[in-house]
Amino acid sequence: MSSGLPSIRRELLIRLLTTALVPLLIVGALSLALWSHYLRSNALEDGEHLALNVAAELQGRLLAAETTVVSLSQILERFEKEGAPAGASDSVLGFATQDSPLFETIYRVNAEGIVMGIGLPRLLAQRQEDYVGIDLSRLPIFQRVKFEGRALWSDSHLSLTTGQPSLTYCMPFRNGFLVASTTLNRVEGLTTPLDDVDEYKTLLLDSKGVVLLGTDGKRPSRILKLDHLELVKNALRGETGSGSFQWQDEACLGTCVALPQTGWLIIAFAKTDVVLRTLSWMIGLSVVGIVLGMALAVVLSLVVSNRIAQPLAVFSAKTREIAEGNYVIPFDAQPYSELDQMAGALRQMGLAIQEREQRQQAIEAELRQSQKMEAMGKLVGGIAHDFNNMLQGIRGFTELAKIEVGDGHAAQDSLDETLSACSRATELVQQLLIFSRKDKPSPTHLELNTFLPSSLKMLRRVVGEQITIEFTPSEKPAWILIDRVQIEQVFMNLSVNASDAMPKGGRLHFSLVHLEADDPARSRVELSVSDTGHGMRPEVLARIFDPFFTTKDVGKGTGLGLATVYGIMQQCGGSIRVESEPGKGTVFHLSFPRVAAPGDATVAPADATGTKPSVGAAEDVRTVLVAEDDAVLRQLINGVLKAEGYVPLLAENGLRAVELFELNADCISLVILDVVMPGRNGAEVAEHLWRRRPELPILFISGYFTDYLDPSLIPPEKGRILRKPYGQQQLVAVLREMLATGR
Amino acid sequence: MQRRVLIHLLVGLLLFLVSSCGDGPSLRIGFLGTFTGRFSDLSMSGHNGAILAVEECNKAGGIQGRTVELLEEDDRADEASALAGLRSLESRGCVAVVGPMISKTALPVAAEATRLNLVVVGPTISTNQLTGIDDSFFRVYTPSEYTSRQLAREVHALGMRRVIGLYDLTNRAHTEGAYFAFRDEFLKLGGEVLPPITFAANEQPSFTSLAHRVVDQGADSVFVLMSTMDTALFSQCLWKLRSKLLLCCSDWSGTGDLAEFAGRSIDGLVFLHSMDPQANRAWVANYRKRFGKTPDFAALRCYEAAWVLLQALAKDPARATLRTQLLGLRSFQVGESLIEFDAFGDVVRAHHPYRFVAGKMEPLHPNP
Repeated sequence: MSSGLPSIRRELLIRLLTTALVPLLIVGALSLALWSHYLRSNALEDGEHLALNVAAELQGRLLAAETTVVSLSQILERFEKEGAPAGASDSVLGFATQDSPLFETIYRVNAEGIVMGIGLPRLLAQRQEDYVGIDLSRLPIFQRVKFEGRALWSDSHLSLTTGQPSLTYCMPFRNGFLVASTTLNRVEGLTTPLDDVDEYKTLLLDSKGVVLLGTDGKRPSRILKLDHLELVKNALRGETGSGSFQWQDEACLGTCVALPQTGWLIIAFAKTDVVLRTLSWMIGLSVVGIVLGMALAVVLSLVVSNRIAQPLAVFSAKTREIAEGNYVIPFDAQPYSELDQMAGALRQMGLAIQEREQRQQAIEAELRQSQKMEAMGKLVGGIAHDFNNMLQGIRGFTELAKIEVGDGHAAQDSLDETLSACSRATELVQQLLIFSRKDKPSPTHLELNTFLPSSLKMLRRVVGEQITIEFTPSEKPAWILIDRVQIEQVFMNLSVNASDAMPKGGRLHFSLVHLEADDPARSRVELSVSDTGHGMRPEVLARIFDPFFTTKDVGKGTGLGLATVYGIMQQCGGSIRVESEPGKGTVFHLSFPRVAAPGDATVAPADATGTKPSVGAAEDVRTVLVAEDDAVLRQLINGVLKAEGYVPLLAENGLRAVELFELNADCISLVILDVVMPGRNGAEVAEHLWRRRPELPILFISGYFTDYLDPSLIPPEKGRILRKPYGQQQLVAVLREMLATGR
Repeated sequence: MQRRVLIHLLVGLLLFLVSSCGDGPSLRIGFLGTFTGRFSDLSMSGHNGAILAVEECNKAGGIQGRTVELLEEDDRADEASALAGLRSLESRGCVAVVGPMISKTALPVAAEATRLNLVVVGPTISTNQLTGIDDSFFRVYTPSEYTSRQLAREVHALGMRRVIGLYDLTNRAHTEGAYFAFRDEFLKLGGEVLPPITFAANEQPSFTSLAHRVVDQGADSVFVLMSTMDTALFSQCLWKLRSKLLLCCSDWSGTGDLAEFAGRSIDGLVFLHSMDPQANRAWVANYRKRFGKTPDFAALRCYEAAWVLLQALAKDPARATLRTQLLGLRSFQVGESLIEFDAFGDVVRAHHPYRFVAGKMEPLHPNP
């Protein structure tokens, strides 16, 4: 089965799947991408909002802490103004640190950075002496505040007192500074964990990117620096940083903002998988949808492809059946209009092929019949020609014999019978010539609607009173071109046959119809002749046009009736077909080419010969050249001519005739030419002679007309035709007339 | 053919949809440092050095195409936390560890790392107790047996003849060995070594008292072995007493924070430094650009330790063969530094004597 060509079923499957899935996948991917972008944007926006809120809250808390230091500075300043006793300031510093929830150490530093007083946490209170008097002038925060002249917060650094990561707030105070430090442990809580705010978390970073407070609001257990993150870098540049980063091995989305007061940073973030949770659901749903879509598309594709491909397979099988000759094939109802149309087309194709095949068989039968009849025609024509010559001889010599024995001789009766038999034989030969189409008809315009009724009067006498003859004319005139005698012969032969088929009477019906064609030149007139006789068996029907085929008793029929009809129809360009079944009668359909009406009326043809009776014989001795291949006829003519006083020159063929003419061209008065001769035929000889002597009268003698001579081409002023068999007197009369008139 | 192309397209699209955007498999190395307490200054700068190395490596394409990730753990300067930190790093998939930063925690970590077959490179570990041991512990820092003797010679060369030692017992693994080496060398040079004064930093000693005790011994110089913060506070206390004692110390005291916290008291202090800022000028500039501050020796040593590991891992990123790789390669060039391990993963490297002048380090022996 595999032909290397793609299968429709597979193609449909692929294309339907592609059509179903590609848009699904594209739309799914685009939707996911857009939804992801939307979720990320929302998360970053929420993060920024939260970071700003936390930053504002932190600013407020730092401000509160700064206020503590400012208040302390005011107290210290008042002490100094009021001249408070030595140690009072240190006590205040001690109380301030021990009571402060934030600061663990507060240094009072002079302008050179020397610690003048210190407040320590209770745990280190005894070590106060270690710190008083030390030099803090190289601490970065001290140098910055001294340089900028304003209070600042430091980044994370180790505390000199505790060794813990700390933050320091340093503010100018009178001629020195107050330096307040707090460990990161103490600043825990400056930021409120945001775990309950949409699963967001916050980180507090110093200006170096070191994490001061973790997501739980507490100091991280180890130093964490996030300054490598892009969002931190952006925030350190003063912009709002946002983006993805890793936090504790998890992907997060966050926004980072800077606190203008301290330079510290707040990152508000959430885990990416939490933020994009709905995206995960959507991906899951999309995958499920795609899988379901694929399954559905596969099933639908299979169903559709099967519904299309299966009928095609059926069509294929049925087409093979048509090829095998089963033209009438039932088709089931199809699921699609196109398939239904295809089924209808296949059905019509089967019927059309069947019809054409039947028509072809009929044509082939006709052709076979035609070829058979053609062959018979040639055979019959040849026989008739020879018979004609023989009859001419018999007739001629019989007539000579009658002259020679004289009137009253006992042989006269016998000779008359011989001439009578010759006449009957001549009629028979004429029929044969008609069948073989050797006889040249004289067609004339006939209007069958008017011509038929007149013929039917004569036919009624032929068929007898027991048979009813009916005629149904056509609605409009039915002009045909045919020899009047021949058409009457047709009517006669068909009527006689019908009469024989209805010995006990019946109905003989003639009807005329027009068979119109698209091309008016191809329109026809059909004459149907039907009888109610006993009909014919198929084997008889197949042979009815064969010459000499007859179903009549011996001696009752010649078997030439229908053969003659067939020949006439062929000669006039028509055709004949017959329908008959035993017991159901017979119908002959005669189809004639329809012709236009010849003016106002049917014109009867002029007499073919236009012969006028001779009024007398020429008295002069004339030389007559005779060309006849049949020796008997040649001698017969020779005798007739001599008896009439002519000088005959005899030639046995056309070539000899030309030779004799060349030798006696000037003295020859007339030429008798047989049309059909070996060598050069009569027409060719005449052509030669007329070239030499255009005025030369020539009498053509022929049993029938063939392709050798077209009567219409013979100039009437110098040529005549005499048909065989002719009478001796007839020949003499024609010769005299031609010699008398010069034509 | 068409069907095949269609299937490939569908599978590709599905994989694209289903696949997450997670990172590829990264290569993890750990950093075990002291991020809590008075010893944390060393680890903070050291951590920066390790970060710098990892960032440079990743910028250059990582290890065999894999990104390197640095994970941290805090040993809180105590042995138990150090072991817990090491195990945590191991369990988190680290193929090697940079750290720890102080000798106190290095001893148990080295033993545990050997048991775990996990390579540990100590950037600043100088204890003599880990010298010449066939274990998984490597270091890029010279044992104090060498550095203390060199410092003794420098102090003697400065004309000091009567020295007293002051050291912290909480990091005894480093301080005792270093002190004894110094003492032996100084005695060998003919100097006098007064009985040492010891203290425990975690017991919150009075540095004023310690200063008084040292000054009262009548020495002309004092060799201190303590953390940066303690050195700063002791130096401040000596300064307050207007003492003329020559203060000398080891690298441990010499982180960047010393100058900030010791203020003007630090001027004149002599110490032996393992980093030559002049030789590592380009690296120092990089570090300053990255972290905004001047690196100390701990930062450089951690940078070197990380790159030693990265270079070995570049040959074979498998944890199991790393120790063999290191001992096979032995020699590593990191920037301007050439690190050459002996058969036990120890090194002996040049140290340079410096003196603080106006808060800045200056070579004790300027180049002619």
